[in-house]
Amino acid sequence: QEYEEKTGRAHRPLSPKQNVRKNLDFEPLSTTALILEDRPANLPAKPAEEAQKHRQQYEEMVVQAKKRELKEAQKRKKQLEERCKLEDSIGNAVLTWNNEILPNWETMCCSRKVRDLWWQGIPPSVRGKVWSLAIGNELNITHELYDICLARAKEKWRSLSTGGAEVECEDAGFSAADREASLELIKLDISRTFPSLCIFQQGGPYHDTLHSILGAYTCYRPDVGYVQGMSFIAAVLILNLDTADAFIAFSNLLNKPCQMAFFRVDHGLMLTYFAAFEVFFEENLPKLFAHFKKNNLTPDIYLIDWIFTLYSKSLPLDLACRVWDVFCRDGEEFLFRTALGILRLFEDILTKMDFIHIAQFLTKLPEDLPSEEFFTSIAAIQMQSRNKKWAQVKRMLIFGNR
Amino acid sequence: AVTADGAGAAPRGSPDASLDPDHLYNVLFVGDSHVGKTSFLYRLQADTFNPHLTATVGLDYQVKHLVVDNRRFALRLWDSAGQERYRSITKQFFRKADGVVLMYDITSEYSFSDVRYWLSCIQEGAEEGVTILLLGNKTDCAAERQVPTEEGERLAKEHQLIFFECSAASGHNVSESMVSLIRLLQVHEDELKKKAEEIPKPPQKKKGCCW
Repeated sequence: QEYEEKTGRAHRPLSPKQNVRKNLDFEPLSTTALILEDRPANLPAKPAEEAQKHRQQYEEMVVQAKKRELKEAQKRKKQLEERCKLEDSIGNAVLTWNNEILPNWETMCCSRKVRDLWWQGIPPSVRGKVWSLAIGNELNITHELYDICLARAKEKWRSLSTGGAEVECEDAGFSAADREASLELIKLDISRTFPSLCIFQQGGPYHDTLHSILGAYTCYRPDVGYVQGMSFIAAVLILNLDTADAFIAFSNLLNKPCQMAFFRVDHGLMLTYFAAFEVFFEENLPKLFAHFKKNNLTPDIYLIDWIFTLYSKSLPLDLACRVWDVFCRDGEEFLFRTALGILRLFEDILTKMDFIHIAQFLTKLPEDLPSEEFFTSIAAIQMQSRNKKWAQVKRMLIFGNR
Repeated sequence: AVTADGAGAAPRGSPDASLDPDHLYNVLFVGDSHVGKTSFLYRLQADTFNPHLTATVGLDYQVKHLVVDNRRFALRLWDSAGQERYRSITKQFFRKADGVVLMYDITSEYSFSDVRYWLSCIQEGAEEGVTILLLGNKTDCAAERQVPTEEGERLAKEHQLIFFECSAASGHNVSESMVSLIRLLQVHEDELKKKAEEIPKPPQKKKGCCW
């Protein structure tokens, strides 16, 4: 707790005290604020020499104040310029994505230029489109299929709420109680998804959409069903895509090997992922790795939450979306690279903590994570271990386990 | 004689809860999804009710310092996800627990019937003689009650558990139940120590520092 407070404070933009000081610096907003008052009549006159000295001091003060003002004005101008530049660059990026990249997706998506632009974050207005394209639709899901799955889900809800006869579905072998519990759980979890945004809660604008997508998925993949954590992934997609497209992206995303391993809680495979992660952990951050080992802090402690929700629960939403951007570009390996980036960013604090404080810290990351530092830290992580890339290390571990 | 570091300063003369604890226990929270495990822990830490908590995925971790009977205790609290799918993940942490808080929701018959399932998990996974606290949460929702207090009491008696009904929303019995748990954990620890002394060559005692 103590650590959390310390770091939390260090990142907060301005403490009240700093604010006061800053105001003092700004005070002589105009040189008219410095008025040379006449000497009160009831006091004896100043000697000429002293009067001269005071006049001189006054003039110096005015000069200083003018200088300060000029500097401030320049600083404000620069800030404005930087903001315009940022807005321009976002505007330009939108144009580049819309006019150059998206129409020529197949040929351009892997080019150096696009990859660089991609790393800087996809502008929110094209984000959904890029995610859709990058995730792909290996499963060939159509909007019609979504409608069919949704209709089936609705039928189930109806029969459950009226307590009617068993609905026959293809998901034989799964007990009615299980299915019921799963549908009930979706209902309960929707309002517990990004509660602070107040849009997925009962009566919120996206409550029904989230309910529909999760329900449709349990009909589309009864063998996977609903697993806690999914509601966060669906919610992030809903924020960036239309309902049916969000469903398509959702189903295809969950169909990726890493997501399948986790959401089906395939222990063996999960352990393989953790082991591969540890290879790169030791390689990149040997000191912290040793500290974690000493404290018996295994990666499952923090990775489970991060991987299951693709960081959408533990990172601020804008940062999580940027992680998703590059995750769509680089695949599962980026999820683990992000984890190492986080550990690297907080290495100094973490090496001073014990088991439970590390666990607590990593499952509740500071809310004011500085985005540039964060991505610089991720960029510094090398996903190569003795000339072996992530996929090779993973493959070796899988075969080693057999 | 109960003070908690989260809720205001300790009165003068009593030990400071946040100093080096005399005793350290690992406590795992289990129970069905949505019975209020995270809310209970939030109430214990911040002494308020937070209606905007997110669903737990995997596990969450907290430390709580308490002073009970003039002794300092540190509880490492492990909050687990309630969904069935996660149970295989939760199970591996049973072994490490000194105490388990098994929670159900008094407004959900279903969550109460699952208590037996959770007990079998504990029996299977935890050390023998682990201290178990059975908690029926949400007493503030009396109108929707589905599980009578007597049923909880009966089940607790049958399995020799400590039993409380509580409310994370109102704060009812939240620290009281934790204090009872702590006292029992301590009795259990003393017994273990005694046993260890009786045996000529004491087996390696489980140290609380890291696991």
